[in-house]
Amino acid sequence: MIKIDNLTVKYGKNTVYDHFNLDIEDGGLTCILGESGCGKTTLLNAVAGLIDYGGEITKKSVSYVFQSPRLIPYLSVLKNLTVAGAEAQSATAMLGKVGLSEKLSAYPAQLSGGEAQRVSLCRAFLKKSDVLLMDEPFSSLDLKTKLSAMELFKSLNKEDGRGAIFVTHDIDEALYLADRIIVIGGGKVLKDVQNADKGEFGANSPLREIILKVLLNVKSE
Amino acid sequence: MKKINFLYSLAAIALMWVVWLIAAAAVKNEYLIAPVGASVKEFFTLFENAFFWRALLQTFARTIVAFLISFALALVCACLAVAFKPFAAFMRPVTAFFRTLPTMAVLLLILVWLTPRTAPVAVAMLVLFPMIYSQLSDGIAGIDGGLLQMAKVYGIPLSRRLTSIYLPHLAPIALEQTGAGLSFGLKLIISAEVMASTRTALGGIISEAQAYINLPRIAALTLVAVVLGVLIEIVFRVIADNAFGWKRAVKYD
Repeated sequence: MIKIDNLTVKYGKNTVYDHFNLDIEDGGLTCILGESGCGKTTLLNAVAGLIDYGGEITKKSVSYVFQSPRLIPYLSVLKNLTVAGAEAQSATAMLGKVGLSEKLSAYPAQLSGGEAQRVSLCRAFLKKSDVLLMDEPFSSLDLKTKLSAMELFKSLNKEDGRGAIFVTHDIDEALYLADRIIVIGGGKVLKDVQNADKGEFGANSPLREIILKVLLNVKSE
Repeated sequence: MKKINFLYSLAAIALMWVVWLIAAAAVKNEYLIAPVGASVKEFFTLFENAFFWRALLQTFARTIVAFLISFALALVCACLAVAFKPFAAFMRPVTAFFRTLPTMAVLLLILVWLTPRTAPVAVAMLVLFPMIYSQLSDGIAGIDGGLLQMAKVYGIPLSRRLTSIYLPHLAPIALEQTGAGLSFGLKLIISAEVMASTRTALGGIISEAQAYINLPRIAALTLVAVVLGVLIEIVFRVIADNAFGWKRAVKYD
């Protein structure tokens, strides 16, 4: 479990979290949903140990899929995976699974956005870690590429079995992927939906209406 | 588009020659403006002279020494400045001081302590160091913070970060700096050699030609310096563009 106790994060005079508490069970897909600028990435970065914070967070080894792929532009696709500790054989096999076998020696600048994000996913799954963190990993992709990337993620995650925490501002992504949806705003948990029913992407559902109302309430405040 | 731009560059060079031709023809006084024909003839004659080659090599050697020392010092200082903000603050007035020094006046002071052979090297270093330091510290600070965050999360060890992120990021900058630095350094060294009357040096030959008001020779030696400087920049730019797989891949994609 990841226990977040009395988390306090300030950027200058701006307080993002003030004694924030949250428990996230191991396993499953947990989505942190909220409007842009509400502190989702800050929460993820605190869990990953990338920022200074007050309070306590359970130390876990993490893999991280960033919003932009953050591939090293000076290394080939294969070397981007092996420099992060993966064996060449495993990296080659993983790239094959995501349909990038022919791009082993390509450089990141030669990849499309979707391809680069797939490499980033491979890197995350290749690293042995307790939990997978994902920061709006599909937000920069067009709809068609996003759908195929989400399907790919689901199949890789099913095989891998690791728990994942992903943040997004997209309700449809959350409803499509997550087992648990935590809506945050103003440094607080506004809604916590355990055992979310995963439906078709973009489909209307009562849960969608409920979450939309919560988000709209935050917007109008 | 590239071909058209190249033609414009050629046109500019041709124009400079034409202006020189017209000015020399108008003035008709070889003690005021060197005649083009005589200067070009002198240019080719220089290369038949063994002393000229010795002088050229020594001037070039001084340029390399000045550049290498400046680069090494600048690299160390730039790394320290990026790693330690107080050091960066310390360096600000130091580099500002070196940048604003009246170079040739300083040469006269330096000649009190150093010889005409070594003083040009010292003067060139005073000018090159702040220039290279500024480029390198901007380059190091300009490394993508996102990549460094990724390296931290994925536990990439420092040695691999150096070889995979820092060095490849800095290498093209360093190569281009080398070309620009050597070219600029050559100009500085020659100017300092003229003032210091350094023997066995291009600047020394210019100084001697000036004493005899041999304008075609001065023009020819100036042409040598210009051609050398341009060649150095071109060579290093080509190397910088083609030495790195990731740059080549993007260029030819």
